[in-house]
Amino acid sequence: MQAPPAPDSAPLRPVCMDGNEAAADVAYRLNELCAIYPITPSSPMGELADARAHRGEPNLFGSVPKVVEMQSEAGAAGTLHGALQTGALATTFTSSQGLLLMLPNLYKIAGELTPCVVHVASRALATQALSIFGDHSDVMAARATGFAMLFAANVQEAHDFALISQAASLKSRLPFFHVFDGFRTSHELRPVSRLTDPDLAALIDEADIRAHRERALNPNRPVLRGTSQNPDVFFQGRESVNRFYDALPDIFDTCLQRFAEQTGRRYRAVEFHGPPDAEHLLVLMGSATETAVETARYLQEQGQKTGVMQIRLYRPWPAQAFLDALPATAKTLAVLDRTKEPGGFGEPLFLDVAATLQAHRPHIRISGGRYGLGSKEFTPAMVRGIFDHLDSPDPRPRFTVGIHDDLTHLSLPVIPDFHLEDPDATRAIFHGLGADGTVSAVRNTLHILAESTDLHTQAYFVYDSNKAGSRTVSHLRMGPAPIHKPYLIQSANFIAIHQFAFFKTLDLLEAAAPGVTVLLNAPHPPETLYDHLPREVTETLRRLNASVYVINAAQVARECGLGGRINTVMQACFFAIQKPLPEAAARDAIRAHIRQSYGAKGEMLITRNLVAVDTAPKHLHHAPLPPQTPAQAPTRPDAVPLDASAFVREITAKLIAGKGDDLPVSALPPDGTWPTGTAAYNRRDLSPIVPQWDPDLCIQCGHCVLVCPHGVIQVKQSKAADLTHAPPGFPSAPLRGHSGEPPLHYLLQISLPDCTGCGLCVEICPAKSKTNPKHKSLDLVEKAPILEKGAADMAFFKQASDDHAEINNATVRGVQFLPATFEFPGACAGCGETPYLKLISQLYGDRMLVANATGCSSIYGGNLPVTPWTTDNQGRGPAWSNSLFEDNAEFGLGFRLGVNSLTTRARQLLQDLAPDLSHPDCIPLLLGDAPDTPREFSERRAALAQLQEILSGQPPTPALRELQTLADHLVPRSIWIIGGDGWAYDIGFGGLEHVLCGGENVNILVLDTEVYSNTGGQASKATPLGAAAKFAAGGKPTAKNDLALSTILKGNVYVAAIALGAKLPQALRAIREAEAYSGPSLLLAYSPCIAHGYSMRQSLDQMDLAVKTGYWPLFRFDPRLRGTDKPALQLDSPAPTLPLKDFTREELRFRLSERNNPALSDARNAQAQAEIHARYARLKTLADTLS
Amino acid sequence: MNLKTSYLGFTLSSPFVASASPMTGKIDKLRALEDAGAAAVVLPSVFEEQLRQEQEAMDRLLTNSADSLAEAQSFFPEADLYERNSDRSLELVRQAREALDIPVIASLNGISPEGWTQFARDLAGAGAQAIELNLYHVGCAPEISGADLEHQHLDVVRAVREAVDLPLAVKLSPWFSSLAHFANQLQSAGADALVLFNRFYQPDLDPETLTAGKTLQLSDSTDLLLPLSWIAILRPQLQAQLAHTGGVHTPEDAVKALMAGADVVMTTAALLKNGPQHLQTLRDGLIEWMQTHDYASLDQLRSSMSREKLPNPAIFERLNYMKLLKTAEW
Repeated sequence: MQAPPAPDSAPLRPVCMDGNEAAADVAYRLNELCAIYPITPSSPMGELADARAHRGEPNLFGSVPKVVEMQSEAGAAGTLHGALQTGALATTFTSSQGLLLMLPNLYKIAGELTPCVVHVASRALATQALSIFGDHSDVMAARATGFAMLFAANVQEAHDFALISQAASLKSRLPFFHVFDGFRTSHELRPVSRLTDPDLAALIDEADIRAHRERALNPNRPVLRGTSQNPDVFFQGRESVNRFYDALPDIFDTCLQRFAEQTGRRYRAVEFHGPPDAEHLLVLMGSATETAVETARYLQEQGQKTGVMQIRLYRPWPAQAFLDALPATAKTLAVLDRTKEPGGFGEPLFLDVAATLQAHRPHIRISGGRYGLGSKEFTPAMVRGIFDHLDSPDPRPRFTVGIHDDLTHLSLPVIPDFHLEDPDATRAIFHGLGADGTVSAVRNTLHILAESTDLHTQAYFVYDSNKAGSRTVSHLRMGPAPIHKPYLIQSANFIAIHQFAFFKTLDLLEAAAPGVTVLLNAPHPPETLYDHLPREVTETLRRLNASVYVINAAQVARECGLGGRINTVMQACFFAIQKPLPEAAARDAIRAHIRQSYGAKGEMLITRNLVAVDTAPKHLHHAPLPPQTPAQAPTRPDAVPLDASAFVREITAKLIAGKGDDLPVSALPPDGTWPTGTAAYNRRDLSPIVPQWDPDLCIQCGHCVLVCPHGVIQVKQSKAADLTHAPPGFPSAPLRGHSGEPPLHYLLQISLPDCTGCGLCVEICPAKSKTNPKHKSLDLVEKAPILEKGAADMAFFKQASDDHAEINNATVRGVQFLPATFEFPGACAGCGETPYLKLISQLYGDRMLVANATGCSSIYGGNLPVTPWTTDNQGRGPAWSNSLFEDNAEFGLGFRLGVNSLTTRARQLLQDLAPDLSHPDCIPLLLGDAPDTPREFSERRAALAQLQEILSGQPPTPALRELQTLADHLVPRSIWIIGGDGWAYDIGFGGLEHVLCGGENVNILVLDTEVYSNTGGQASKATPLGAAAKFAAGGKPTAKNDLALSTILKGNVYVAAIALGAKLPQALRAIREAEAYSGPSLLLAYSPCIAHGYSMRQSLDQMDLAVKTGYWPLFRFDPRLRGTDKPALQLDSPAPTLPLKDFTREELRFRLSERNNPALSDARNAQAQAEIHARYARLKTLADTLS
Repeated sequence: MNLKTSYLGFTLSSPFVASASPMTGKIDKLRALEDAGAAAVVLPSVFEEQLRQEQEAMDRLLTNSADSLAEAQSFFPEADLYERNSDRSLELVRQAREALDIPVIASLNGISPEGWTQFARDLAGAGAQAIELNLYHVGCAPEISGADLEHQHLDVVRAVREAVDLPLAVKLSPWFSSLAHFANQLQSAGADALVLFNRFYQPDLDPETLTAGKTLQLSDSTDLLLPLSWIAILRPQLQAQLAHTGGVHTPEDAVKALMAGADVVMTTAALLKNGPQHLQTLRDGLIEWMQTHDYASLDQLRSSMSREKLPNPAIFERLNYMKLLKTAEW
């Protein structure tokens, strides 16, 4: 180890960071290998490590750590295990299902007494639903591995414990989980005293590292490790490690003492917070500890004898430390677990405490409680509720807190208005949009305050579930006193609304304190502001006696050349109103920070932001409250229509309105089963510009319908006679190519509130005006003037007649008329994935089962509050489920096998019962060949209905009842396995490969964005050579895995590469052939993504370039054609006609590589270009061979 | 044959200068140009507008998707993602200076007063030995008069002259109402040389798709005449040096340009068409022509057919047009 420099004498200013950075900063410096895989919320740790390695930053030992992304957490754990066996210092970062995938290796690592630290941003495990949010389910599921477990309660501890755990692990030989709460700690920004390299060096003993290296596998001292042991010795072997666990508490305490000597921060394995005569205590771990301690302290001031036992070291269970810390006066204990073990006697921490007390303090009464699952808030009111409960005559042995359990009545009552906000602190909430820069403004503000003042600060951010137009809520506290409040602001004295439109649907003043200051970005001057605010809002403001300020930040930002980024403008206003710094100092600080954060972005952006800082306060106005709410003020509309289902009105509507916390347990489906068709209720009014249709120009090609990523363009062919009652000016045109009777009209409508304004429909529209080519059949126009008429037209359209039974679903023109059962997904504007799903839903929606891998498609497909999967007018639609990330192919195969079994049974029953049934003319049809066209399906369904009617008239024998249940299977089901490239190429590849080789009839759609889009663009094996991505910051050094080619070579799998925007008919044809093929089908669908780095409006052009350059050649391999006179492998795009550069130069992911290292990028470009020609040649050769 | 000439304070081994083009943007090509006999090179223009647009686009792409989602705080790796103003161009200047022995002239097209001067300083700092201001402007704005535009251009030249000590060339379009007057003013404003002329790349229309597309039509020898005329006209009126650019494809083209009064002959299209070695062809051809025609030196040839030295100087004025009309046969 290099001798570290002497510590600086001057104390360092705290550095603002979140928990992930806090942990990763130490982990990077203390390790030689980071084996990583993306998973929320721990991905940033791997990203930070990768970025530092890319920059060549050395670790404490003077070498640059190797950061390697694996195909899954299972792979990361295997690599970790292997690296440790060589004597390297290695680590990994993970959460949730990722930790579960590591389990087998973790048992091995611990079983072999191998020192290392796994840093875990703890997160819920998927059960009735996936949750990306924080609780301890994951680490509790790993508590039997033999890893020691150390829980950090805040960002500083996440930083410090990364070091302490590493030191203790090296010294004790026990591997550690370093655990901190996902999101609450991993994503909370706080000032942190950063550990210096000398601090790190002071804790890490060279002798311990040397010992670790000496235990390594080494051919110079060969050993055998990982034997298979027989019953004679295995048990003894397991027991041989006990002494290491027994020794750990002392070793750990020594490390804590050394840490305290070095840094002045003294931690204990179990820490008691409270007076020595405390009687009622909470026992808990993680971030909630701060809330508990703060509330207990308040109650102590009120005369109560409350205290908190903070468990930091959880494994090995520090029984003696716990008993030593426990006050002798303790009477009742509530042990809080942030996890759930259904059916268990109690949760893990409770059981440990209970067993400890049973042996040593049996008279203490103990309750076990669950709290905070899936990042449910844990507040002082809840802590007080628990203490009140402990003080009651007969505390419950088991309870929950933070929810209303009206079924099993376990939940404790909570005083709703109790909070412990600091009256001297600014408690500011900022409501913004992802794209408007609100979060980054708050982030910057925190940095400015931490760096320029002695104020204590904290920031935390909440995001909604939509990818397009996502809403953000930023919580910023700053004040003279230390902040120990790991929960959302309960009583805000400053609320900024960065988007005026939010008022239409959301209660943004829920947390407002009396006298609150409200800052509005509004397109209205103070004089008319209240004419436009919903009257409920004005009345609330008046009740609160709010002080309201208004600025047209959008206009100011535009005029300063900042486009839609209002962050600097609103930040300047916040400083102008709240004055955390003297005016001039604030301006200087903001300006300095702009220079710092925009320094790399160029002088122009710096100048524009500096101008915005100076300009903003001049446009900020006080808007005095009116004496009464203006008569013309609008009222807030109902969240959902009154004719919606009871479920939607009572549950979905609350989720949409942000009131899900109010729902009681009984309102929630216990098995995670939710209705579809709910996205239509989530009207988010995203775009001020929308397409407008000119029927006179339209050639009715249907391209716009197919490329619309959000399903907002809908068409019908209706009888002309039905239009007589249409609203005035209702747009329609005679149906082209139809001359029969009755005359039909082509109707096209756009669901304006759901349109994101992505413009793809306009881009693909081929119909231009001959006199003014700028005018197309679809043009983007201002939405506001046409919104009302659009709603009336859409209402008429929805009830207009529609007959699509005769359409040709093999053509793009025909398929447009099929109703989609996938609409209004909350995907990014211009998403490249969703058009494929919509098209498939048009073709097979009424009979689809979807197995959806975790990823973008499972989030815009199934993240509450709503889902875009919906039903047709017969109530049929895709039935959808997400199992996990890694198992999707297997999950979908299960669908197929189950359906096969039930279909076989239904057919058998029908055949058996047929002789006894009257009017059996429907039976041959039901047992005949599978239908194909819409008409054939219609006939099959009619036959099924006839059968059901016949069956209902028969005596109910067991066989008949069974057939009634299973008869639906006589209409074939279409099984779809859908996921992204992260699933197909990496984590799910093994299962995918197995299913492809298995020969079963499943349709596998890979939405290939060439990165892990959902977690922020990490590289997968689908990432192309040279593209920069997270975990490949310097550009991916290897080529994209050729999944298509290896699958074609299997011989029995239908394989197609499609790019909908480049060649619609080819994509349609491939999808239909894949579905019709009776074996496995693999559709590789090129999917433009915001992680590619260009305007998504250009994605059709980019797809076209991808095909023309040979980057994404189009082809179809149909095993049925082998041995026929038709080509089994059909190349649907010609040999590359353009250089690859024409494609790559348009995308930031490639240009970033070029900027990082032009010479390397040039070499890779040349290599990529050569590979494109080679690949096409391979395909051509294969096509010729297979002919 | 001694082909030495002087341009922007440098003594050049020949009058052939490789003008700004994609070819002068790569070090290996620059070396090849030098090897083939380029007496100096002009690097590709730093376009302030393009850099600004790139910065804006980059900022938009990076920030619009950032801090929006719980699972993804950003979509690109943390790196120095923004091109700092003219980083790449400055690096090219540095590399070119290191790689070449011939003078390296940097070219600049600004859109803001601070852009022109800042980039000029940056280029000087990077080692550029002279600067060519590329006054490329399409006058579409009805509210800006010709005089206003000329004033703006002159302000730019003065500001850059003030900002840097390097020799300064100004590259012009031919579309000024009184070019001779304007050229004199440029000279007064501090231009050491004028480069005649810039080429405008007009878009073409596609009647099939009803779209307009960018076109890049390289010059040929027929494009020689416009700069040739103006060099012949301006030569007697100016102290500033003159560079002919446009339509020089053959040694004979170069002879004409030099005779009209050019100090140097710049070529782009011919090099793009024929490769760097074409410079050698031009140089050898020039020597051969001079030998064949008994010219002893470049000085003897240069400006020998400028307007003042022609027996019929009016040919460059309206008379030329009149004569053509008269001789046209129907």
